Amino acid sequence: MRFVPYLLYLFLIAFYRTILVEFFSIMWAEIYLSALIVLLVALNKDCLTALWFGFAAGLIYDAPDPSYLGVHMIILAIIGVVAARIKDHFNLESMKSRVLLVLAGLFVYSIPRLLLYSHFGKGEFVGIFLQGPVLSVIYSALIGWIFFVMRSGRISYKKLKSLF
Amino acid sequence: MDWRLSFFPRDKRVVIHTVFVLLISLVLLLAGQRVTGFVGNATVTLFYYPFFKLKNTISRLVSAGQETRALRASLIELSTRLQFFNEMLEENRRLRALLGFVPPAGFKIVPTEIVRVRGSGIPNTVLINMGDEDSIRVNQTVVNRNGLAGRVARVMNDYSVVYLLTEPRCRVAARVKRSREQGIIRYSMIRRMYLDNSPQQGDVKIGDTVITSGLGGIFPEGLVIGTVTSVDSPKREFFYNITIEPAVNFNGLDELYILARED
Repeated sequence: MRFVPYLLYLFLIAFYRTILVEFFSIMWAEIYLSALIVLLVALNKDCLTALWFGFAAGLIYDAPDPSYLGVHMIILAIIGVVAARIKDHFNLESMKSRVLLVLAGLFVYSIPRLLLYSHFGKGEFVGIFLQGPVLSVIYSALIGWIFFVMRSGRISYKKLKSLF
Repeated sequence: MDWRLSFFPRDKRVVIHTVFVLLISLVLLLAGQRVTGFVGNATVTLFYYPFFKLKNTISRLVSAGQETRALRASLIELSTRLQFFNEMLEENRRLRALLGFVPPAGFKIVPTEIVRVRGSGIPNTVLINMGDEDSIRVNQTVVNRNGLAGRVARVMNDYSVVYLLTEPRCRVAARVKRSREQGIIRYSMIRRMYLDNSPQQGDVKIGDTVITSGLGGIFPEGLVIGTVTSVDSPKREFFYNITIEPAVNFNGLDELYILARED
């Protein structure tokens, strides 16, 4: 039973990659959902869970394009274990620190991703990086922040309903 | 202790698992297409298949919706065109019927359009779009393809008023086509159209066609007025009670023609 939530997260990643990505993408910015979920798991669970979940999320991410199978598994597994270790080591409890960690994690995730999947000439890297990945990182971090805020109870369905 | 050293996990399990995960990932990354294809296919089948199916269904629904909208638009367009063609067909039929309509000798047909229809229940007066400027004159005969419709009662510059046979003021000298029995066609709200002044000694039967007699000098002779639908012979009265079914459908008037004398 303890694996059920993680399976649901994996299905969510598949669902997002298949259908939701079209609805949630704004211009060049998309949500790095797999990395975001891995970071959220890392912030709430231990190193081993984050590691294996990162590995599974990478597998799910790479599956439709098997020529890159393994890339996301390595990236997400490392991000998961490092984020969990940072959280444990620095005892990150405040929301700001957690959001910062998510932001940093997403940045780290976006660089090898860009190097692997994008084709660019000399001197174009910074331009392309600022155009797509940076916006995506900020957008994804914003979603992560909303998740934290909702989880902490600062925003809830009841509160939102009372506004209208 | 330096924090950089303490950052790395002392728990061997984490190290072993990390190394194991990285090894599997590297193996998959470096493995041939056969292995990666198998793993990829298995994962896709397990996790992506329902969503692919859902996406296909959504795409089909969206395209079906677009197709339905396009079909609806073309249906509206086609039904409009069909109505237009039906109108043309009807007009064609009317004009063909008119081609077979031979006006009485010395008369020509002047087509005219109805502008307004008046009358309670059944129309009894119509306004047509031709008047004095078109050489329309009072008491000219008005027909349609089925027979006598009425006469011009008033003429203005561009318009004229036509009294239909359903107008009580419009009376027509008529005769039964078969037996040449004469009478006057009248119309009243109670009796509807009837042939008056036809003596009971005369030969009038149900189904006889009634035509204009030409007497009175207004209507030319031989125009169809209607058909006899009932013949009563009331006692102590001199004339028949003859009811006529008009040849012209006054509720469905569309085009009228004026019989103008050829100069």
